[in-house]
Amino acid sequence: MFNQPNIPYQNALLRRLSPGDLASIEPNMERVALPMRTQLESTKSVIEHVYFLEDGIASVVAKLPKGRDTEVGLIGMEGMTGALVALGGDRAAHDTYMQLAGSGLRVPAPALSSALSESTSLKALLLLYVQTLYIQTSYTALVNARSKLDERLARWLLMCHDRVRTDRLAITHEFISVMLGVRRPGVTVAIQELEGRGLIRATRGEIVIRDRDGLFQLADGTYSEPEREYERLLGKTD
Amino acid sequence: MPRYFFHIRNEEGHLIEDLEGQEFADLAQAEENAMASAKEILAEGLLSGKPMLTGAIFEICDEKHALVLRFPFSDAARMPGTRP
Repeated sequence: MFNQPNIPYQNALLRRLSPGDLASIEPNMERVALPMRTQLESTKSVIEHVYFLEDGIASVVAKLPKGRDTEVGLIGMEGMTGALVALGGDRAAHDTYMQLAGSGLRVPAPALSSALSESTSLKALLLLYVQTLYIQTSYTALVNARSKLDERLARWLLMCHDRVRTDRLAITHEFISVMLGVRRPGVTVAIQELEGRGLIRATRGEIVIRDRDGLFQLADGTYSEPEREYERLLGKTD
Repeated sequence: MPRYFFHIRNEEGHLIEDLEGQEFADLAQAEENAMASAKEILAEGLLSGKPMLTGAIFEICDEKHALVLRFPFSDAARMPGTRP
């Protein structure tokens, strides 16, 4: 691993790049603010930039007519958008947008593609990340089929908590309803239940994590396998 | 579009407050959402091995906090309507 604390990036992938690989994309890299709802990719459209998030959370959201959208991927400072670019593609399969405001470094997709074709080490690292995202998505498929809403909410809150530096998540019930694929009043009930157990505190537009271990228990085995695989494949985040 | 708040009065009479609300074209659309949401909450409860919360009621308020519609979950248990 190339964990280099002197590198001025928060993004876990950029921190792991070798100096040479970093130098190959740095000239094309641009730091951008990413407010809530910023669209990073649109279904079936050409992917223009790949974003290495520094903070905030982006969601990959699959869409069905009549607003039946569901989150199929969660990305924060541990990763990047544009998994399909790393795999050699150029169009997005789903929408990707910011569900928690943050910032990141973006690289034009063609520039990243050409850097990938010139460096096996860059390609190897980014493909390992894509593998972890694939594992995350497959576990999301599993829990969406087999787990109950309160368990899925607990897992999702843990995944968000992993990607921020605070216990406070500035997140609305409306967003959670899209992420978990349920109507908003169902989210209100599930949140109230978690609050009743002392696991979180919810106010308007904010959820405070109070008992991470309790959330882990409630998630009942749905959280941690993808996270363990990330550490195994990429090493501990520093 | 007007914003409606879907507070839930549970079977013990306790109010679960909706702090955010949600926009709908009119009250009829909000009622349709109440029907679908109640069906979803009832189903989720059943699938989690809990008793069905048929005694709960949506108390839908407008932006001025005035109660505009009471929607008993029992209606969603008995009647066909918009699917979740």
